[in-house]
Amino acid sequence: MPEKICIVDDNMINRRLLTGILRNEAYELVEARDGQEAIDVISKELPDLVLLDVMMPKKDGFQVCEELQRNDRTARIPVIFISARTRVEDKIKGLNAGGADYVIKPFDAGEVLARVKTQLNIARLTKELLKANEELTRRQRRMDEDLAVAARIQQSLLPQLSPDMENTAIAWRFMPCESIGGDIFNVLRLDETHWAAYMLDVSGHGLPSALVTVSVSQMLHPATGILLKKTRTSCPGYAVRRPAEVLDLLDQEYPMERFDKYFTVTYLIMNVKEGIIQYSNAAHPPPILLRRDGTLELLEEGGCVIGLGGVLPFQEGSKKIGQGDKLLIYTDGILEYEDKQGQFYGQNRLHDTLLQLRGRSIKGIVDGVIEAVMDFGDHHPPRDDVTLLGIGFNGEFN
Amino acid sequence: MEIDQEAINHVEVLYLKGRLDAVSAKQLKEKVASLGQEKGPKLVIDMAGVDFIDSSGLGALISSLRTVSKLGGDIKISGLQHQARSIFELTRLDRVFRIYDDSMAAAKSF
Repeated sequence: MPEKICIVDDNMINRRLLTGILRNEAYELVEARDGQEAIDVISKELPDLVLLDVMMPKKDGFQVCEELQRNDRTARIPVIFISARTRVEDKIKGLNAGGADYVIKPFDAGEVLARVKTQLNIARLTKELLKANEELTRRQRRMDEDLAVAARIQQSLLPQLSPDMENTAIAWRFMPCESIGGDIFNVLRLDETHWAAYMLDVSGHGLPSALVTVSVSQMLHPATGILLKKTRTSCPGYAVRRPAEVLDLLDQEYPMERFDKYFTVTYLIMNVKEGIIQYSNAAHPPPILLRRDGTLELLEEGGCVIGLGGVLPFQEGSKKIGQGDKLLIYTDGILEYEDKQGQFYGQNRLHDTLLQLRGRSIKGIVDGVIEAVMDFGDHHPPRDDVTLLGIGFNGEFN
Repeated sequence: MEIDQEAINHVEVLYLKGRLDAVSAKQLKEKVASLGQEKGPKLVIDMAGVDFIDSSGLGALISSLRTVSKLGGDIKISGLQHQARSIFELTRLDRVFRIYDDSMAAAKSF
C-alpha cells in the first residue's frame, strides 16, 4: 500500500510545487487548503505524514498540529512544517507544538524529499516497534498465564491437607521467589509405623529448577519403589529403604549432567510408634530439632550434594524424639535472606527466633519464623525460594 | 565476571573476579572447557576476588571438576572468601575439592 501524505497550504502554487516533488515517488497525495480543512481531511484520511504550512486562514499550522496531538488517532502522525517564517523562535514553536521537522520556504525539492523520506522511515520503524512491543506483551501475558498454571501444578505436589500422622501436627510455608520455585517437600506415609519427610532445593531458580523438583517428587512417590523395596524373605514382603540408600539412588538417577542441575536434600524416616527419626542430609541446611526443654539439636549427618555420582558416601544419623519436641526443616533461602545492608539472616538468628517461639504450636512457630525473617529484611521479596516445614510431635511414644 | 589466567609450573591458574552466579557460571564453564582439551589438565581456580557465590556458581565449579576429572586431571581451589568458604562447608564441597590458601600453594600441590 502506498504511503499517504497530506499537503496543507492555502496557496495553490505551493500545493502544486509540493505535489510535483512527491508525485514521482508513488505516494498517495491528499490536500487541504486551510487549517480547519486540514483537521477534517487528516482525521478522515489518517495519512502517514503531513506537510503543514504555518500561516493559513481559520487555524494556523501550530494550532492544527496541537489539535492533531490531542487526538489519539492522529497524535502519532509526523508533521513537517513548511513555512516562510525563518526565525529560530518559529522553528522552536513548531517543534514544541509537536512538529517532527521544520522546512523553510522557499524550499529545495531534494531537501523536502529527503526530509519526507526520513520522517516516513521513522514513522514506519516506530509503528513496527509498537507492533513488536504489543506482540511481546501478548507473549509475556501468555507466559505468565502458563507459569501460573505451572505454579498450581507444583503446589499440588505439596501435602494437600495436614497428613493424618499419628501423634503429630505439621505446618509449612512455601514461598518461591519467582512464580514457581526450585524447592519442594513432602510428608508421606510409608506404612503404619513409618512416615517419610523430605525437602529438596534444586540449584538455580525458576522453570528449569521447578521441573526438576517435579521429576524428583514423582521419583519419591511411594509407588515407584524407591522408598519401599520389595523383599522375598520375610513378611510383610517389603522393607523401608534407609535414608542413605534413598540418597544413593537419587545420586545415581540425577547426575549433574542430566539436567545441568544438582540439588540438596534432606530425607528422613519417622517411626511414629517408637519416636525415632533416621535421616541423611545431602548438603541441605541441617534440620533443627527443638526439644521440649528448649535445647536445639541439628541433624547434620549426611554427605555432599546430589548429582556428583557418589564422590562421598552418605552418612546417616538418628534421633530419639519425645512428646513436645518439634522438627524444623528449611531451605537456605531462610538463612540467606538479606537485610538492607546485605547481611544474611543466618543460623544464629534462626536459632534465637526458635527459642523465643518455642512455647507456641507448630503452626505458630512456622508463621512466627517466617514473620521474623521477613521483618529482618523489611519484607522485600526474597532472592531465593524460601521453604519451611515444621513437624510437632504431640503424642507419647513407646 | 573477569577471568584472568596465568601459568605456574605448567598449572593453569584462573583468577576469578566478581560474583560467581547464574550469569557468570556459563562463562566459567566455557573457559574451563576451552582449557581442558589435552590429557590430564591441571587447573587452579583462585576465588580471592569472588565476593559472592550462589548455587548456579557452585554448579559451574562442580561441572568443571567433573569435566576435568574425566580427562584424568584435577581442579584445586584457592583463596576462598568468607561467604564462599561457608557455602563450601555447608555443601561439603570442601571435602570434594582440595582447597588452599593461595594460588601458589595450590599450583605447587600438583
